Amino acid sequence: MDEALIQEQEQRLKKTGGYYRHVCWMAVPLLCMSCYLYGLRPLLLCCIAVLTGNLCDRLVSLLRRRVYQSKDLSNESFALVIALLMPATVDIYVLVAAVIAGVLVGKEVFGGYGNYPFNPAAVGYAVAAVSWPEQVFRYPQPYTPIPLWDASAVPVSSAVSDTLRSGGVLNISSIALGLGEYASPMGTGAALVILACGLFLWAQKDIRLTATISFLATCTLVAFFFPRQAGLADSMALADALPRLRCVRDELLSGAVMFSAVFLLNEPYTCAHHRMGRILYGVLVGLVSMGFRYYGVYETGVCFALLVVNSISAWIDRTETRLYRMMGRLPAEEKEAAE
Amino acid sequence: MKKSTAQRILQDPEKYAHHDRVFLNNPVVMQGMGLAPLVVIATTGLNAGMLAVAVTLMLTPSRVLACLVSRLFPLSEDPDKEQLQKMLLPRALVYSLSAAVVYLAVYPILNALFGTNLLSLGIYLPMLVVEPLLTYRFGRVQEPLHKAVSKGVRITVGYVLLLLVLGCVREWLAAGTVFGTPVGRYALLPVARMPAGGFIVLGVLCAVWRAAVTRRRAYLEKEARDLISVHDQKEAERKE
Amino acid sequence: MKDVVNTSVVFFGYALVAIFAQNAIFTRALGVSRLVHLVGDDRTSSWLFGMQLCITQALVAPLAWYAGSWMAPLPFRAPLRPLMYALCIAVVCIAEHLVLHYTALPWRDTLLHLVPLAGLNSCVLGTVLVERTQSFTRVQSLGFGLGSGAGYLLAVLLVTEGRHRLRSRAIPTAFRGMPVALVYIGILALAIYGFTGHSVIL
Repeated sequence: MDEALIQEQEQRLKKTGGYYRHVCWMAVPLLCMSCYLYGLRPLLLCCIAVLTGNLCDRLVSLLRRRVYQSKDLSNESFALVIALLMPATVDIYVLVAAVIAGVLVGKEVFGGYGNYPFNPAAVGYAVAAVSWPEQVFRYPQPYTPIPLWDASAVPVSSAVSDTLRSGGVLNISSIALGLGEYASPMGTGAALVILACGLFLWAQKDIRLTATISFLATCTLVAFFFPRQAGLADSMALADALPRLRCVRDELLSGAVMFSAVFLLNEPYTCAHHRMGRILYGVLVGLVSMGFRYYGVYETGVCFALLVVNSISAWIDRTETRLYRMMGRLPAEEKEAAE
Repeated sequence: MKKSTAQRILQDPEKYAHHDRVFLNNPVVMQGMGLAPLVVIATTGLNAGMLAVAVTLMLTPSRVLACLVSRLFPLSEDPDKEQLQKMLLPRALVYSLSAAVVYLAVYPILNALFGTNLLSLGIYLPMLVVEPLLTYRFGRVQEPLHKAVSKGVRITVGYVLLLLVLGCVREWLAAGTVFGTPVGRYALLPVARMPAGGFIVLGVLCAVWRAAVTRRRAYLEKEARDLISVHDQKEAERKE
Repeated sequence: MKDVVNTSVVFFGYALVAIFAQNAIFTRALGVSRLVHLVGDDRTSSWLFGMQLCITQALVAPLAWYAGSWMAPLPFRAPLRPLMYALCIAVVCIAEHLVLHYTALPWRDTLLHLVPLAGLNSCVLGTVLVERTQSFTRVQSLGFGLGSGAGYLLAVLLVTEGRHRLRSRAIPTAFRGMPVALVYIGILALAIYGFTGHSVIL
């Protein structure tokens, strides 16, 4: 790799390296909650994921003849996000393949740190989801004993997504939904813990509220005005407000929506950079992911929706810059406009 | 390496590499031709084999036929706008229709060879008729007949090689078998069976191939340079 | 009146399916060689190429439907199909060429250059072949053909939008150009699977 590129990446690392470090730290409370619900297997899976990410980083440094940067925790953060999106019973090979696909295909092929057009964690998850849907979309019940190495004998189900898809109501209390005490991926069930992590990341200025809030607001509005529950869609919106609000609760707290809002949406190099752009980005991701959830095949439509909208986030930024310039609000210098 | 080869390499390394349509200038890897059937159909060794036979039977005959008929609409080395506007469309139609005519004869042969297996090629078999691999020549200068034959054969070999490699790799990744025989115990990456996986596997394969080509070209140039300098040294010593 | 509404619903329904769920590029890789060249080629305008292809597709669809229906009872229709469809595309291309030649439309010269590239394209032939193998009616074929062209245009715009990232100096040398464009298209195709699943009807 030539010297100028290495220096450019080091500068980027100084600017945004903190985000990935904080995401790695925030995976810890989620992992603790997951270990409380599913035993020690989540810990093993996360360690294997982190190790795989790290080894890929070292391998690529070797191949591209640059010095391995130990401060660069981006691979490890993507690996942890992928691991937390998986069920606790997922095959170790599936997780390793997902991390390798995410890191090598989603990130390194496009030039490494800061150059990827798609969120590498979403890429890795999508590859695993499409290759092994029976492994990735079936979850064990909490408090089931799960053996450490081979979890193929543990009963798994996709009850939540089946219920929502067929127009039913989730028979799970709000507290259970908030703490993740239902069959869900390792790290995406505990909504209250995710909220707390989100608050920390916001305090560290890693999360931009505009994107997250516009995403969640869009999902809320879609779920409220077009609920999936049988019989509600045709009724008056305000007359059946309470059942509709329950639909909103079900939709927001399942399908990794909260987790994606906190851990996937605000990735520094795939999210839009200007304020209006971020609002539009959040709205688009919300609309496309609800569309994928309602009419698509997989429950966690958010990851696939992210890939679609990532392809136009740079265009959103450029259009906004051009608009501001036309309106005369933008000075000629690009740097002042960017965050 | 022969001295004449070394001199050819050093005189014009690009032209030397361009001539080798199998490895150094593979039509798929270096020029991006014929991608659609590769991505969607070459998911198993058998499919790749059937497609290879189809391309072998179609490419050179259609190129020769089109070369003969397109003499009515020749394109010169550096065409101006007028000539392009007049000649491009007729030449394109000649190349595609020649391929369609050759397909009339090739389809029964393929049907006799492969029977119902041919159905797994779907629409990609008749689509070869407009594939740039067979018709790209319409936008280039009119070529003589012997070049049409020789280039047609070399491009066929290059494409068939990549087809078989990709088919076997994708079958092994997606199902753990090669031409139906199990190799290894696991299916490493089932997504390789699908078009999305096909794009990604082909992209990675092309990158690996290009890296190998760069290495090989650097090696050949170095060998050529060393051979010529050793030869010149020996000549100088003999004169002394 | 009801018939008109029904026909419109079928037409637009199939057009939408062709744009999103069965996108020519992302689901069937039709015309992907031309797309990859477009990404690397600054001289050809993506918009014009996509538009030209859309128009050609819309014009070829009804012609090909009639040709296909005429061929349907013939015993040797399988080898004859590409020739008949290529002839239909040829008729449409010649008509487009004549219209462009004798009128003073904007971008005339570029469009004249693009007529053979956009017409004799695996996307156009592939779409009419899909319409025949899935036995679409006339209205369904029209809708699907137009949608296929629009879907190709959308794919062209999406991939040429990614051009900025695909030309970064940081991409490894072996991946620069076509390989990274293929991986980019592959990831977008993967994203579409979230909607359609991964079954492809060839």
